[in-house]
Amino acid sequence: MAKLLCKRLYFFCLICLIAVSSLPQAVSAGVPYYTYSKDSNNRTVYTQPAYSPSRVIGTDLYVVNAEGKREYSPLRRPQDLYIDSNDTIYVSDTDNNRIVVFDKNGDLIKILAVPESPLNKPNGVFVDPKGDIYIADTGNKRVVRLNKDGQLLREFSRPSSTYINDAFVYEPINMIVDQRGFVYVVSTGSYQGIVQFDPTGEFYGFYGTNQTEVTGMDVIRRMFYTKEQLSRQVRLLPVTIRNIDIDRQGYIYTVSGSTSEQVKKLNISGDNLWKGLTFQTRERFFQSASGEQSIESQLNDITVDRESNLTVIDKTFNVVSQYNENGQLLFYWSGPSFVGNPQLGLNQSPVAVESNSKNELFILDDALNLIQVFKPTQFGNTVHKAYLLTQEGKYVESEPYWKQVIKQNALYSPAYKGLAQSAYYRGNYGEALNLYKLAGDSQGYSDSFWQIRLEWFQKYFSLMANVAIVIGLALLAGRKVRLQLKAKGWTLPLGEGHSSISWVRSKPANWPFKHALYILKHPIDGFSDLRYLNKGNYIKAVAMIVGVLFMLLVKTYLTGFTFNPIPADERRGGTLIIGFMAVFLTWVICAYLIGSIRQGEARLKDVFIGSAYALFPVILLGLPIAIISNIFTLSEASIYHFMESLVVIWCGMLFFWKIQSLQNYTVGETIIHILLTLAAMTMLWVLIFIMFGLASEFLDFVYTIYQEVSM
Amino acid sequence: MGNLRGKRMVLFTLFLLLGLSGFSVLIHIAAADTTTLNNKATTSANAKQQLTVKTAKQADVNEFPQESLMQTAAENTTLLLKADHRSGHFVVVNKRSGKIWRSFPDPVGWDDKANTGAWKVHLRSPFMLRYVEFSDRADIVKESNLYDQKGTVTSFELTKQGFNITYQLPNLGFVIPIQVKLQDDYVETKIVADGIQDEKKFTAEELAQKADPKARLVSIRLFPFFGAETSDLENGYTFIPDGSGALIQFKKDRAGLSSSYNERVYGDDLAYSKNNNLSNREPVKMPVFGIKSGDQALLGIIRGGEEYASIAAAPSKTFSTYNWAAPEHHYRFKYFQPTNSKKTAGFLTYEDKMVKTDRTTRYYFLENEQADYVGMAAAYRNYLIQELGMKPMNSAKPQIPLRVQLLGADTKKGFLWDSFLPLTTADQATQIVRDIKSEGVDSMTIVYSGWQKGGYSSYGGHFPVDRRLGGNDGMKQFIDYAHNQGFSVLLDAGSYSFNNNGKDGFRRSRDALRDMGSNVIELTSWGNEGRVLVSPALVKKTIQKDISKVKSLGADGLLFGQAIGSVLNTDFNGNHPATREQSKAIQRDIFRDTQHALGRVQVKEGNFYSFPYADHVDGLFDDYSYDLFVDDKVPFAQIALHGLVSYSFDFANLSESYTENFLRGIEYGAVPSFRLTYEKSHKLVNSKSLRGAYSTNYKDWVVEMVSQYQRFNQALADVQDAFIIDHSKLSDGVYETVYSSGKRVWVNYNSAPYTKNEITVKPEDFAVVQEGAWNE
Repeated sequence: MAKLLCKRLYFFCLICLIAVSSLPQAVSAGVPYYTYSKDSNNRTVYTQPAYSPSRVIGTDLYVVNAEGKREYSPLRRPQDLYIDSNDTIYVSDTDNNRIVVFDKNGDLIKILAVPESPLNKPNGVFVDPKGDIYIADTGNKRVVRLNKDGQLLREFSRPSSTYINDAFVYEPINMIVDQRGFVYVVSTGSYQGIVQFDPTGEFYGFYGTNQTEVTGMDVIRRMFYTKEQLSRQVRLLPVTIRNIDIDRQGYIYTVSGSTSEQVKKLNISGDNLWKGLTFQTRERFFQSASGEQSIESQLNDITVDRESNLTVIDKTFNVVSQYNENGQLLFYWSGPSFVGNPQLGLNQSPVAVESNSKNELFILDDALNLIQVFKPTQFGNTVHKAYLLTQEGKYVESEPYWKQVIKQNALYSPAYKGLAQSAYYRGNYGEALNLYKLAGDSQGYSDSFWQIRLEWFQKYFSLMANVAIVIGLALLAGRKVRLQLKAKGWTLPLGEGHSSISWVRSKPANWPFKHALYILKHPIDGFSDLRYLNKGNYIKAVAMIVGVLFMLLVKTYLTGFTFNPIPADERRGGTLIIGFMAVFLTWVICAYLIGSIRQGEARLKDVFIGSAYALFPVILLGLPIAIISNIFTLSEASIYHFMESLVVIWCGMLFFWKIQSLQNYTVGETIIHILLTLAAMTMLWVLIFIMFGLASEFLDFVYTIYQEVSM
Repeated sequence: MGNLRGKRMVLFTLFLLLGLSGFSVLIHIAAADTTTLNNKATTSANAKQQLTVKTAKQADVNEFPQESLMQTAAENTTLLLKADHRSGHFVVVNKRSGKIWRSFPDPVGWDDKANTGAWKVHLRSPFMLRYVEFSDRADIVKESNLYDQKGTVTSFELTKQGFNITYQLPNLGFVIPIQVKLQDDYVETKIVADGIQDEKKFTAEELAQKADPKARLVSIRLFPFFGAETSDLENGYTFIPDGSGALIQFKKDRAGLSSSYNERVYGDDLAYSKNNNLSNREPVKMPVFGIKSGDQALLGIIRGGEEYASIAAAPSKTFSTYNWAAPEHHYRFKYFQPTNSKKTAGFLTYEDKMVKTDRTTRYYFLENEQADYVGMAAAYRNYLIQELGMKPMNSAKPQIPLRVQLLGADTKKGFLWDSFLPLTTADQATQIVRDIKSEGVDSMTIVYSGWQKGGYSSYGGHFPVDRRLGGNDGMKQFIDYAHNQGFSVLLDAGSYSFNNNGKDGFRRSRDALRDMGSNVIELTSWGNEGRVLVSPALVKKTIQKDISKVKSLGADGLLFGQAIGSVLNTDFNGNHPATREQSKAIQRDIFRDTQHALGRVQVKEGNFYSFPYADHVDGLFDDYSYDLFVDDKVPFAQIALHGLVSYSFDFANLSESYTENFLRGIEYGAVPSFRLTYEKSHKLVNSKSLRGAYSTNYKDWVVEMVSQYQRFNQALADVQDAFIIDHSKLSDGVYETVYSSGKRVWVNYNSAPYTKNEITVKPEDFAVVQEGAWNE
């Protein structure tokens, strides 16, 4: 009793805890944000910062006003920035209706306002290689092209074409110009895509249009709604493009607010090279689950630096993410930031990002009204360099850089992959194997293993062939001898078939596996023998379940890395055991209950014992499958998966026969029984959850009242 | 109601997730913070509105006290204290130089148009206060001052050393007695605990007319604008104790960032905190602040009741045209009262009981060449020596020791159960030390972490040393080996702050630190759950019990940290209650006793009250909180401490930028330190609480350690016990540190060389410029 009370108290205290998380462990001082990466198992890894905040630009802005006085004139809600090849910085100072130009140190060079045709809320700015400045003059619904001194050269107003309907809104917010002089204009809320002008300013077509996103609900609506109802629905339109950038090779990148393909890498004909890649930042944070209105992440702008790394900013989550040329995540960082406490390196509302020739990142913030500058750290630089060399196929050259990365951060697992690629390239497959395992890359691991296996076969082929020949000859000879002996009327004491039977017989009488083997051969009879010949009892069934559990654990533990690329510490045996037991017990209970209302003959005991015996194939095949997984590569995956499904199908069939035999059902009845049992199991779980929910709510209610009364 | 429920759901989800992973830590804080901030924003907006209405015109309000009308209150050989009996404001005059320091803003530069609304009155009042009206909203403070409350001076009397004044705020029923004293080279102000009153007794008639608003005092900023200056001349800065010290330059124009600083001295008190109101800035370790303008400066040191104070500062244009920094003395704290068993729903409220202690602040006056942050730090150093009893180092070893922290073991998550993850056994430690020594490192201090039974993530029941690391005998052998080599070994004992295994006679329900709502505080970080803070009283007892065992191992001392010397909490556990003040006393006792028993004690990220006992400070802040309104970070703490106690910064092998960490170590006069394991670094990915230590394999770092050891000694070996007497910026990214021996060290952070007076500093390097090498 005392013990019970103690336990209860302990439980109570557990509930009472308030979790306060503070006292950060390793990092005491430093940059005000945290940098992470993902390893191949998609686990978050903590890294030192890849970029460190270095300075801000745009806070000391003085202009000479009409009266000739020097006047403080800060940026107001700037929306875009561009950095040209000389590192000159162009900022569209939207609410001041001007373009501000800074030199590479952040000192003001000039201010462009186009007096002959004043700008009105300019949003985007771009500079072509000749130095001509393009401005998305949103308020005036045009794009203007200025020469490098700020004189107006051309206007790109609303295109007129038969392809454009009246509903099309032309409010340019950003644009780029490609090497041919084509202008790509992003317009507010235009689902048609990017407006493409040819160098003469003629409308050329729409480019990079997004796909319409159709949800399951939409499909159902399509099926059931009448035409009238459908017409009242909001029309499904493609997601609009938010921003655009172009890299030095001429690939065009677009950012959209879609749920997939948020970032597209488009070639000149508008094909997305990054199909299927996701750039979602939301799921990286647990915050996403908070409450009913989950916040959608809002990718805002993108930049490609000189090393082809891609940096994307997310306005709602304040996350800066960096990807390499192939869209693989390198780092992402974010920190707490809220109004009232502006900090160097922390954005409040990032709207645009650019990089310069030193690969510094410039992030424009329209709440702080300044540009935050980040410079790559030693770690960031090394990672970039290493990735660049690996991308170019210079594996061996990349090796010292990857080693440097690992020295600086041994938990940055992409580095192991880089080293593994190098080792594989050098033909050192053993080393590659280990490194791929550290990197959590099952494909690479499997490839290396394939090579090792091949080498092994090649090395031992002659030996094995010889051994096979010797064994073959010996068998032949043995058979001959036996035949001769038989002919003489002698028998060998250990015949083939007899030995296994005598082995089983020598076990104690309650050894459950003997009858299980019998069931495999004669399922219907075997199951009915369980009941009528008393072949099974609870102890045997429990032994069987323990065996199954043991085998499941062994299998999880022993399965080769190729087929189970989860690190050992992530595999939790406890969950496996609990999950299995929960499903098994609910199955037994539900199957019995359904049987008893549907004229089944089985007792609870029979269902329990029968179900336990029906799982025997798991015990039988678990170990062989686990062992095989260690010598197979992914190219033999189909065989492995066949064997795995074999176990499932076999168990399923045994369950079927078990029900037929023990409940004395026909085939049709059995199928109905199974379906009903599954339905009952679902119901049972729903009930259990509801009960738990209600009980805890009730306890909570009592506690709340107690609190309020006692205060 | 629906809203409340929604909020509850949000909080609950957050709460659940918090348990899931350590990463959520920061997110959680970030997420919840926005909500409180929104609250805060509305709060201050409300308060402002109310106050604008209340702003009344009074004779006193529109002018600052005239110095000529003030009476002399006290005088000594150098300073003269003159007081205004109507307001309690005073001025301090240096009799020799004639320089004046005012307890109110400098009237020169007053701009009637720019200072409007509530702040117009705040600026003239001798104090600002915040109060809460329990009958209205128990979680919202109102900001006010003497004049807005139509307060009066009920008594003013001169004393031997200064004057006493008592203010009364009739509307609220507050009585605030103040003492001001002039002594030697400082002025000391005190809010006297005895006479302070904040409960108004209403007469029956008054009550009939309107209900008692139950106004209660929350905080007082006494003489908040002492030394305040406008930015018109751009000739000074405000000093705040952020990180190692930070300066806010007087700047006429600041980008439209309304920003201010207000941080608790010694960091947040977890007994009142929830995740969503923990500060995002570096905790304040030293209760100091200052203002410099022109050739005079002021250093404020909170001397009494600093554990209940915060330091507030704001640059010009944030609230008013003045730059100011001041202590805010808190009397009531806000806490979260949960109303359900999951602690997810509840309300914020101020505590009922007032924290009644004396609140003393000292002001030191500096002028001419002393009037800068170096002078302030020097004044603080004198204070540390004279008032806190710190002693200048007298027996520095010839070589700067290399600091090596060894990680013993941790727990690793496993397939079926968690297992032990050995990282450095005692034998391996011997090998590491031997290897480093053989490379030429003759002086070393070794700190052994994660030595306790169960390893790093096992809190409670430390002894014996884990047998898988070698047990007590193995540890003793290692220590003997190190001693033979002339190295000292300390054990990391910050882990005594927590318990997660119920050993040491610890029972969660009985012995854990409890917050104001009487909940046990559990700390979660990096997937390391289930740690609770132990009541300070029990921590002390456990350490007293274990100290003889440490001694029998032969260890030279202990390294404390966490809730022993670094984090200060009130304990509302009924079995061992302790106020924040008592908690501080207990922590100091632990340091004193340990130093007494073992001879040496050190602290990690320690608060300044622990320094008189420590002979080294680990992880001393060398950076700041990256606030945009901060213009320079300065080594204030280092200037004050160098020559009194040695210190080190972030572990060199885990620092964010290796070059910068090294160069800053040289510039700030630190000791190089590394955190090492014998095992390969990637093993730590599976560890329970060391996943942030991403590069610790000692073999990777031997070369770097030897190089840093040699270079630090080259730069600083002969000035270990010298004071830093000057520090300045020679050019962007080039700094000079001058020691009392005359040695000058130049550090160049740039990627280009720096040359001055025929001396060149290589890029990302330093140069030692000996005395007489060049004349100023």
